[in-house]
Amino acid sequence: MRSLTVKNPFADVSTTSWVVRVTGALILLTAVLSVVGLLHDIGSESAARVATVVLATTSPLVFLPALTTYLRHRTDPTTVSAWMTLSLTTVASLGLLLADTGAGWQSDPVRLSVPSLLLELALTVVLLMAVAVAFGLIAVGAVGRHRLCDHCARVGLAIGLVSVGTTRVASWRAPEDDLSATIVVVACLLGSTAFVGASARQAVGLLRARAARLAELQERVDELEALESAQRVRRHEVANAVASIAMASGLLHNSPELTPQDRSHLEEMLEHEAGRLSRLLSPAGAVTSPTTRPRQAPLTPAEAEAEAALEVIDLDATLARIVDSEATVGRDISWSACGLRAVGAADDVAEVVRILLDNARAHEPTTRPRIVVRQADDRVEVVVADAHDTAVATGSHAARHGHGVHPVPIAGCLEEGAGLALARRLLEAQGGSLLLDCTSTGATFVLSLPAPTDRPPGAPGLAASSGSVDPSSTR
Amino acid sequence: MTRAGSVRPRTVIVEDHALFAESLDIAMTMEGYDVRRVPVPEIAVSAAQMVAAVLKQQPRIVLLDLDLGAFGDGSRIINPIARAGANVVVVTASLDQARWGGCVYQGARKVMSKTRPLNEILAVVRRLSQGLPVMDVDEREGLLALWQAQRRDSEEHRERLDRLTPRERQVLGSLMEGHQVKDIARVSVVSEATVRTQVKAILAKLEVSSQISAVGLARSAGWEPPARPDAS
Repeated sequence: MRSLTVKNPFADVSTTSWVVRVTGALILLTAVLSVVGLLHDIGSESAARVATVVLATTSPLVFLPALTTYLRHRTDPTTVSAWMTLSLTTVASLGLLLADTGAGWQSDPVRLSVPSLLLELALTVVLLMAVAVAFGLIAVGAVGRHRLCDHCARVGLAIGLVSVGTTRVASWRAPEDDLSATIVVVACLLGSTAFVGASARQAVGLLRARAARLAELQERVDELEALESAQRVRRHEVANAVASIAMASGLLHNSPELTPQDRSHLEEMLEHEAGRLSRLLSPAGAVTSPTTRPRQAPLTPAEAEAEAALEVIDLDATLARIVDSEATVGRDISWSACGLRAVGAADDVAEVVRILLDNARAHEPTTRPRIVVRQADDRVEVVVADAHDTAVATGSHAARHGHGVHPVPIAGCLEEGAGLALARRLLEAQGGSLLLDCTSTGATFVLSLPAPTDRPPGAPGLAASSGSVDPSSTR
Repeated sequence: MTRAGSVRPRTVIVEDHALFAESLDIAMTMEGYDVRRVPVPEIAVSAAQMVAAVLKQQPRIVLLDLDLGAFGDGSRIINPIARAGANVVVVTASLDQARWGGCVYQGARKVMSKTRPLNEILAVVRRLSQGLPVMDVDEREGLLALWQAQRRDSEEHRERLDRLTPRERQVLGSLMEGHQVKDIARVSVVSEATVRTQVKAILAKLEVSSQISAVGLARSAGWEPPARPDAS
């Protein structure tokens, strides 16, 4: 139970999330103040000064999300680099903006005061840090395992860096110099555009890669969880099979008073159970698939497990056991042996037939279900129907196969619940299919399986199921 | 398979493994019991339907398996059958002693492993038919103590399960049945992303990190998913 009490790591994300939100709000405030300063008057030192102070205060904060993310997820450099890139872009863009803003008050004596120079120095340090980080990111992206940006993004980043340097140098010159002012404006626009474009390209690429990876991992988790669930069921079945075999075996050996009929019946069931146990314990994928279904992708564990259980099924023997089993609990079924065989997993086919019988009874409780087995080209069909569906008995059902038969579920007939969903999944895992024909007078389920090839039953990969029934017998 | 000769009390077998049930049936019939078998449906039915099917046979002794295929946990029907006057003997492949204690709490007279020798099972049935005790105090107290300890844990789990919305309960129920997210999405006619969001909400509310843990938590708490339509 220890694993059940593991704290959900998603609950701890809130701290990081709040840091990001607060930082985002501060950055937004900075940007607004900067824009206000620009719009008011480029030469007005009040708005620009406020913007500069706010920027100098908040610039280091933009590294907090990256730092927090790094501390929280040390092994996730993709996330860290994404935050770094966004932080870098924000600082550099705002710095360029202020460089342009400051061009108007370069000659102001206040601008040359010690506090202003310190402020300018702090801002420059932050920008230099951003530049250093940008170079670091490019270096890591170039030589590291994690590709941080594609070619276009690298070019954009390089242009942005050159523009930052040019703008800073040009903005320190006298405002009367038209060339410097032009350089500042052009470099500012170019740098901002290049930086934002490059960082956006990187961020989108990283997020897409992350989403794809997440989806892939989620799929793996789904697969593993489904496999674990199947293994749990298998363990339970193995335990029951062993206990059943032990009990039946003990009864056969220690009860001389058993009637020959009971003894024969028990021996037959024991043999079937031993075969089932053997299949339950057979290694997944050890048996070559007897089907001719093309296979492009490697088998998943679940598919390999399903294919390992495939065999040539003696449908008469399989259905006879079901009919016998149902008869012992007072449920009559109309069925005639036909001598046909199919490729599939005998236990799964038996389970599917039982599910279909239950559904047929649920649809028409007062009638006796019937089972008909027939050949249809390279397929073998097992038809389970309630007694109302006379078309099954006459064979005309096949004629309307293309018109009246629909994949389950069918609205207004039977909803696809757990039973039918399980039946369909079991059949699809062995190359079969399940169809439902539902009319006002009855319901017909058509279970379709591949017919065996000409290979002899004893050939490798073709484990002929035990038991046989006289084809002439009718129940 | 029911045989003639009601010399001893009527015994009902509720077991979904055919060979085990058949062996018990034959062995007990040879001992002179009037044995009836109650079929375990392949589709999910309610506990009330299952109890009605058992009580319809008017049993004196009921041999009950705990894991009954599509029906699920057989311990759900112990109490109503015991209250109706039948002696319930649980014969299970499960080795979870706390679960055994839960069966005793529900009213089972004895809980046995399926791996026990046939003679031992027959001896228990024989003693019950003679009105003799089949479980000593120490064994009973031990099992109940284990169950109570597990119950304390499961109460906390139940509190978490109570936080789920009706839709999240349905999704969790589907996960417990072994369905994958894409299957749930298809059956529910919603997108996979929607179901994944619901699964994330379930994990957050249950304070676990995986679907397996969520299903395990629900099972350990004895949680039952909301009822589904009978048609399957």
